[in-house]
Amino acid sequence: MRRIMLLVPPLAVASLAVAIFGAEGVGGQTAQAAVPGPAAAPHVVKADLPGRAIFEQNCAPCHGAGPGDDGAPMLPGTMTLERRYQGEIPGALELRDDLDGDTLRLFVRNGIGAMPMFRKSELSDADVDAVAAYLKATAEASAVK
Amino acid sequence: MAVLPPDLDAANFARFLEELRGAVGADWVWSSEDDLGPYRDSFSPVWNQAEERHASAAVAPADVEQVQAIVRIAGRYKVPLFPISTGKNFGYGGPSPNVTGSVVLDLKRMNRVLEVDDKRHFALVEPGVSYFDLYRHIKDKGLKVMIDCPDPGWGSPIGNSLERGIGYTMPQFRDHFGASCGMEVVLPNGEVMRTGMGALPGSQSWQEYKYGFGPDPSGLFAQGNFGIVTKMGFRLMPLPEYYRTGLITVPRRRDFVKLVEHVNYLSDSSLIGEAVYGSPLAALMGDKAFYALATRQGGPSDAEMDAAASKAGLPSWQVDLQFFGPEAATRENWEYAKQRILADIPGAKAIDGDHFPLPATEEQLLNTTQPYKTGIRRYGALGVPSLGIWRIVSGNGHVGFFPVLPRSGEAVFEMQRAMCDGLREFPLAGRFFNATTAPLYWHSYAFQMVFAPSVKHDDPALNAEVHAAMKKAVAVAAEHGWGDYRAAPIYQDDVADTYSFNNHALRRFHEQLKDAIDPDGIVAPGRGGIWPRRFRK
Ligand SMILES: Cc1cc2nc3c(=O)[nH]c(=O)nc-3n(C[C@H](O)[C@H](O)[C@H](O)COP(=O)(O)OP(=O)(O)OC[C@H]3O[C@@H](n4cnc5c(N)ncnc54)[C@H](O)[C@@H]3O)c2cc1C
Repeated sequence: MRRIMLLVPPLAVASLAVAIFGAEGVGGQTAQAAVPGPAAAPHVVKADLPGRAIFEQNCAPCHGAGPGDDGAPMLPGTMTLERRYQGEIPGALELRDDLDGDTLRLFVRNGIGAMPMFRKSELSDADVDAVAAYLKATAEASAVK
Repeated sequence: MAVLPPDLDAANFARFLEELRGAVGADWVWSSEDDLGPYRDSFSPVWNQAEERHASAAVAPADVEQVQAIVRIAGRYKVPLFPISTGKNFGYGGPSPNVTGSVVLDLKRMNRVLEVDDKRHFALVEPGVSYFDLYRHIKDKGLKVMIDCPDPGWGSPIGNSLERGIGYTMPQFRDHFGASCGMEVVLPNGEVMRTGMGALPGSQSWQEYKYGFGPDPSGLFAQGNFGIVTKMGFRLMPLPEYYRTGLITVPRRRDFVKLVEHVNYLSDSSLIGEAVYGSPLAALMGDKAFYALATRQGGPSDAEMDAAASKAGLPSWQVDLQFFGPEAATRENWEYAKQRILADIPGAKAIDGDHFPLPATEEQLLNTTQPYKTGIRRYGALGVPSLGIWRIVSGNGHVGFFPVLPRSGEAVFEMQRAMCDGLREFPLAGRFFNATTAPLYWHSYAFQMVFAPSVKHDDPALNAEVHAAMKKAVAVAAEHGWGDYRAAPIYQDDVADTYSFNNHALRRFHEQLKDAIDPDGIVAPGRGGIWPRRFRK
């Protein structure tokens, strides 16, 4: 029985419960306290490609470059990637020029961590390719020269 | 082709799939293991275990006629269909079916917003319309209505309300099934039926009077398996002119009883939106001694909790209040709430919150303008869909148990104590049930608490513990008269079993209906714990 306590960090459990409960208390700790990474949203120059609308409607709610809800510095997918890469690669997908259609599809169809899989009825293979093209063009346009 | 439908051999399954392709086109039928991967429940505590439920295929129709054709084909081959709208039912089974071998009827392609009326305040949508889609439609057309959405915006008004899901605005809107008005349903024999005024040819009031004449069967389609909903109407709130928040704190543990009574009054008088309760003492749970006190067998005494609160300089409870309406009305309602509560509870304090005209600015939406730390999640509170809530998802997600309890402070104390004691063998449970646990005020007239432990695909031992804890939670709650409001397919029989008044009269009634309407179990056999004769053991 002790395993659960060991494997699920108490803070994560508390923040799940607390965030669903809503109130953390005046002066209580926030779930965001442990979040690393830059607070300012990076500058993104969005490429005018068909994949833009697909990205914005299907991916950006988690993987956009803007701030997260309720004071969180980043959106959840971006925050997770920021944590994973620790600054080596950008957390925001729109700043990544290394994601081709096949790589994206691997994650889209298999999910990873908290991200569930996407069905072909909601995101076709062609949609994923269009998103890949949009991300590459956007990353290139946004690159600080 | 990993699994087959019940009682069907491979050759007949192949013929069945061929007929489906004929009905909807080859591009919209999937049966390979790769294509079916996304129809698994990625939040499942029985991931890769024998109990996990797998689809044998998925089919995505474009319109109602194709849904009817699929139902008739399935009827001929006796293949169970499992309808999903947007399929984002995470925490409650995702898109996966009750019965292994079912064919998922994926309605995502049916994604038209058929009507939004901002003079009579309703919407009529198809199942594939997500909250994001509906919100975008309203924004693009500049319509003056506000939706009520669950935290994740990628779900659908139809899928969510058929689970009796909830949101965060005024009571009559945040109970999503309660706010529904009029349905179109494909029945298990393939026939199309409309409920309420929709049954009267030429009626213009389908989304305004849900009952029509005679019995209203629409409740059978929520958490049930009597048909496939292809259209559904929803009442919408006219976009309020103004939004205001305020916080009330009370010093002592027992003050919660009076606080709840006052907030019940404000809510039932339609003066407030969702009230978000919390205990500032939850911030002390990292302290070992306090944790031990808050989770002690039999519960702590009021005096001990009050002593801990005064030592920490914290109030025992707080409630975030929200007001919608004309600016003057929100101001007066907040003044009234303050005066009413502060006059009755010694030591209660009130802090003025945020207030602004709607629609909110981007900054207001991001909730950085509130003068104190708030329990309100601003996007949900203002009916703006988002996925920001995913920040609370850890591991590979979680499963949810949300017992319903009466709206009273005493009931809250009782559930804290009984669930904490009853689940003591699972150390994780103490984080969810302890003397600081506040109730959720989601549904219009009842409280709930949450037990939502996380799972990990690569840790079957952890998942097994979670699975055992979930089953135990259902049982412990039922011993005290508390029932889950909604459950994943793997728990639906356990939960349905607890609603057992008069030797399971309710279940027997549902079974009689199911036997009459769908004896072969073409629509979601087992959903809601309702099994047709064919599948009953
Ligand atoms: C972090 C997190 C936060 C959440 N917050 C909330 C919240 O605030 N409020 C809330 O309510 N939920 C919440 N959920 C649970 C869930 O994600 C939502 O309820 C979601 O809207 C359900 O998915 P859906 O709308 O895509 O419905 P679907 O998955 O499409 O449908 C749900 C079920 O309804 C039935 N069904 C669907 N469509 C039809 C149809 N057309 N005909 C017949 N039966 C049908 C099926 O059995 C299906 O499994 C949350 C989950 C997580 C992980």
